[in-house]
Amino acid sequence: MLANELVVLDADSRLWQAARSLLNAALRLDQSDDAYSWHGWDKLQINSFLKNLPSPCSLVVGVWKTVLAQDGEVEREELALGIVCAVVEGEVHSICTFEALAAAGLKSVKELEPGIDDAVEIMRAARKLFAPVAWALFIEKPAWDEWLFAGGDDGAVANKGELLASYARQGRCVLMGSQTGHHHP
Amino acid sequence: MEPATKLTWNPILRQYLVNAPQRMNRREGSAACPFCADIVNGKVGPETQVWLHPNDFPPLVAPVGEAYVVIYNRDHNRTFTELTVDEVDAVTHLWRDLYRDLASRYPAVMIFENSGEAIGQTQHHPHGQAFGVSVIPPLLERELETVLKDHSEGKGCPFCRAREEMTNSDYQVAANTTWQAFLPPYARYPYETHLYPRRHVPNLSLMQDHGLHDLADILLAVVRGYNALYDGAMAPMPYLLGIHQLADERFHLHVEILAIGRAPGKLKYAASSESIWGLWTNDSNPAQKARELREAIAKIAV
Repeated sequence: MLANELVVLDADSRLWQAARSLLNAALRLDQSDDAYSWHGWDKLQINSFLKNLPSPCSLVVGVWKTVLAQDGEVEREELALGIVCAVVEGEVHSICTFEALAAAGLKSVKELEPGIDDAVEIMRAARKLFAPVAWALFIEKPAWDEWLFAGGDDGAVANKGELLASYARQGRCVLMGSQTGHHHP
Repeated sequence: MEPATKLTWNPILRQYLVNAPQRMNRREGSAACPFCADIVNGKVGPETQVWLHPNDFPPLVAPVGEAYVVIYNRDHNRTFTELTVDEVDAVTHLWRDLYRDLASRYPAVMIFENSGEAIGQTQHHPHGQAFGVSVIPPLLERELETVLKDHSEGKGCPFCRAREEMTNSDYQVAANTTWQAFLPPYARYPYETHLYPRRHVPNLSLMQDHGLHDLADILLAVVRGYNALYDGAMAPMPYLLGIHQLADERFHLHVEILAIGRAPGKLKYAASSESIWGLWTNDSNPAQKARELREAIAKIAV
């Protein structure tokens, strides 16, 4: 699942805080036995997903949250999580936040907007810096949380792929990338 | 708000339809060429020979897909067959760049050309088109199914096998160091031609420069060959050209050219049998048509 020498490229990024807890959960999954699960995730499901990816490739996640301005009235969209994983031979070799994509010409994270234009630029930058994007997920925070923490019945492992595909069909998220072509109803 | 483009699932045929109602009133021929305008307005520099123009009436919009026009040459009045091999080579390099870009966002990249008013070409500036699309088109998916089935059964690549079987046969019409052109026995149109790289390559991103140059060479040879059939009586041959490729190393890159003419002054129509049932009839002998095309290509090569 995770390479022995996993590299975090920009741990000093403002965006890393949100990613850190996810990495901790992934490490626990990676180091536990196959029976261990975390909010519907287990190692077998993740390994199966990773091993079917082209090598090398990138995985991109962008999560947007709505925040209120100080006057409590004007809303704006802010990036809650923006990470890119570089995957080689079914293992995550490196992780970075969208801030690191500035090296590939992406505008600053503060200027990013949740529309499709910036999503395309994020994917272009990920390809330039690492590898073609196999999967990119752009989603609002409530839907992200719902998906991330969805457990199966009685806390069992959930089919996260099918769940995400259903979100995409409902327009609750945007899925792009080279491996997204087989999501029929 | 409804997106400008949406995919509608056909539960009977189990395939998607692209709904793009905004295209109903698209421009169809105009006094001012929209691609020459790129030059006049300074969007492309004086040295630029090939470039991408955003599709002004895109049938696909992100995240469903993206659509581009690939301009083959800055000279409005030159046809594809009037370009040199080096000029077409510049087009194949742009195809490769475009594939690399779009394949990182979409599972399928459709690079194609509709040539000739008979099949709906509306702009005469030499150009083709490209789509990145979020679903795999049905015919490509069917080809991929064959590839995966043969791979799982240990048979290897079906395209490599077909290529080997047709090499130096009655169905081979042209060849160079990297590519071969065949008019296969299962051709749907009398002069339908398939171009295969000799080496197993899944897509243009992995094609070396000399392979792209050879692709330009063989493309020109085949299309010029069409125009030389019957001493030029079928020129300019209307055709549909498409590059089949996938980001799956088991797939085999190939180009299909559906030449629409079947005889001087006559076109082959995809009529009821073909359009309603998908059952194609070819009213010709493929080996004989391959010989005619092979001889036409050889004649203009002299």
